[in-house]
Amino acid sequence: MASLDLQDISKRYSNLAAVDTLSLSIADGELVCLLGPSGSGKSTLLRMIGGFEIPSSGKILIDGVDVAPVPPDKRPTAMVFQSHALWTHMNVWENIAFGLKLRKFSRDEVAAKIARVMELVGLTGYEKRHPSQLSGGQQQRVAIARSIVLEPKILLLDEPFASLDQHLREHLREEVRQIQRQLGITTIFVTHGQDEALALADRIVVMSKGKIEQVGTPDEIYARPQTEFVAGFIGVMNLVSATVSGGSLAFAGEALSAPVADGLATLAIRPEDWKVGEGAGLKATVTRTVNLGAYVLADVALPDGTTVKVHLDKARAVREGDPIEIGIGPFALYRDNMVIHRS
Amino acid sequence: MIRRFDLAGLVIAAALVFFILLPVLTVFIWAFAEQWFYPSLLPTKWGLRFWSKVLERPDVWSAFWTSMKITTLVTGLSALICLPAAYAFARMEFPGRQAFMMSFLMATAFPRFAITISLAVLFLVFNLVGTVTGVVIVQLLTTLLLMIWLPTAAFRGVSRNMEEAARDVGAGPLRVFWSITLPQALPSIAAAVLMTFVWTFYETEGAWLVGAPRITTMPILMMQMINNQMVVQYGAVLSVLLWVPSLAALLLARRVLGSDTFAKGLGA
Repeated sequence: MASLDLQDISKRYSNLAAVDTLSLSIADGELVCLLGPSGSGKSTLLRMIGGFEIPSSGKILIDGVDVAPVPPDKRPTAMVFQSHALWTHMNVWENIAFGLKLRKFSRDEVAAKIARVMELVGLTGYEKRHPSQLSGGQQQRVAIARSIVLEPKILLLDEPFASLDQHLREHLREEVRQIQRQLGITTIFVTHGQDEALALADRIVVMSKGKIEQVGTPDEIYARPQTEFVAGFIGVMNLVSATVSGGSLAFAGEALSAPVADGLATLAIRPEDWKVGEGAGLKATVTRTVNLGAYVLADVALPDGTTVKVHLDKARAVREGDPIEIGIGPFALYRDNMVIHRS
Repeated sequence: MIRRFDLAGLVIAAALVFFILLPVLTVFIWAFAEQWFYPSLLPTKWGLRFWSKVLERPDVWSAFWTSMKITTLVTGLSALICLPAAYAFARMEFPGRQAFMMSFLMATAFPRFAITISLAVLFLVFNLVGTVTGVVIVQLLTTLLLMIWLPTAAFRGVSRNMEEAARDVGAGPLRVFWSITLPQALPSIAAAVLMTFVWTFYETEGAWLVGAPRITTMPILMMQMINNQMVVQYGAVLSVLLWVPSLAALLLARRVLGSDTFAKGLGA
C-alpha cells in the first residue's frame, strides 16, 4: 500500500506530447479513475506508472522513491490489461503461480496464496482450467487475481472491462471495488466510460490532450465542472453560446444576471436543472422524447429556435409536439474553457 | 438433404491420385517386387530379397549416418543462427530492417543452382569441396529463408501484452522470452525446424555439387543407384527407406503439437 506522486511527467513522441507536464498526487488506499476520450494520454500515463513507457521528463514517486528509470519487473506495481493477457499455454493455477515462483515462495506458501486469491475473485475450483475454457469475465478475474496475489503497492487497471458487455461490466466493477476496499490497495483505473468512473472512483482525473482538465470526487466533477471540456464530457449538458454585455446575459429572449466581463461565453445547464411547468418563463415545444426508464429526456425547442435537452418526470406524460414551459435554473458560464461564473 | 454430386471435385481428386499417389504406389510395388515383366500389371514374384540386399550393403549404412549427421548439424546450426535473428526481426526496431528482409527474400528467389555453383567454385579455393563442413554450409544457406521467415511471423504473433504482463509480475527479459514468448511461438518454430530437417535430408544439389565424390548422403546414393544400376529395385527400396524418416518426423510433430497447431504453424 503506498502513495503515488507524479511530478511534471511528460511523454513526447517526436513532436507530439502524449502526456504534457502533468502532476498528480494519489493517497494511500485511494481508487482513482483516469477518464478521458481516446488519445487523451490516460493509457500512456498508466503505462508510465507501470514502467512500460519511459517518461521523457519528470518523476514518478512511489512512497517517495523515484521509479521512473526502474523496469516494470522491479516495480511494486501490478497491471491488469484490457486484453487480460493471460498466458494461454498455462492453466489458471500456473498463470497465478508464475509471479509467486519468481519470488521464490515455498510450495506451501504458493498454494495458500493462490487458494486465498481464487476465493477472493470467486473462482475456487477453476485452477486446472485453461484460459480458453473461461468466459470473458472469468478471464479478467484471473488477470486480476494474477496481479493482486503479488500484493503490489499499486494496482493499475487499463480499461479492464472494455471488451465485456454492460451487465457483466457493472458486476465486475462492483467486485473490483469490494476487493480494493478489502485490501486497501492504491488503485488507478483507466476508463473512457464516465459511468464506470462515477460509480467506482474516490477521485476522478479527467484528461484531455495529455493534460489534466480537473481532479475531483465524482460529485464535484459532475456538479461543478471546472472547464467547458469537463462540462461537456461528463453526463449530459446543454452548452449554448451566448453574449454577455453590461453584466447581463441574453438567452432566448431573457436577461440573466452574469457579473462577468463583456463578450462571448458558453452557458452550461444540466437537463435536470431546468424549472419545468406553469410560470417557468419560456414557452417552448417538445420536439423529441427518449424514454430513459426512470425519466424522459426531451428535446425542447425554445422560441428563438435553440433546442435544449430537458429531464421530464414520467408523470408529465409529454408527447412530441406538446407545448411546455421551462425556465433557467442553476447554470454555469465558461469562457476560454474555464468556468467564470456559477449561479 | 442430398449433397449435390460435385463433378469438378471428383475430377481434381482423380487427377491428384493419378499424378501423386500412382507414382508413389509404383515405387512401393517395385520395392517389394522380385520379378516384374512387361505385360503383367503386378509383379510376377513378390518378396523382400532386395531389402536384405540393400540393407546388407555397407555404403547404404554409411550414407544413412552421413545424412543423419549432416542434417542434424544443419538443422541445429540453422536454429541457433536463425531463431535469435527471427526474434530480432520480429521485436526490435533497427535501421535497415525492412531492406535486409527484402534483400534476403530476393537472394533466396535467385536460382539456387547458380548460387550453389558459384559457392562450389568459392569452396574450391578454401578446400571445402568434398568435406562435411562444405556440405553443411551450403545446405545451411538453403534453410535460412524458412527458418527466419516462419519464426519471425510466429514471434510477431505473440501478444506484446502477454510479454508485458510477464515483465509486470517480475520476470526479466530473458525469463519472459523463455517462459512466455518461446512457448507461444513454439508450434510454428517446431514446424519450421521439422521442415528444415526433412528438406535438408533430401537436399541433393548442394550435397552433390559440393560434397561429391567423397561425401555420399542418402539421396545421392539413391541417385547413383538409379543411374548406375540396371536393377530398379535398389532405387525403389532406398526411396521407401528415405520416406521413413520424414514420415516419422511428420507423425511425431503431429503427435506433439496436435494437428491444429501444426497446421497453424505451416500457415494454414
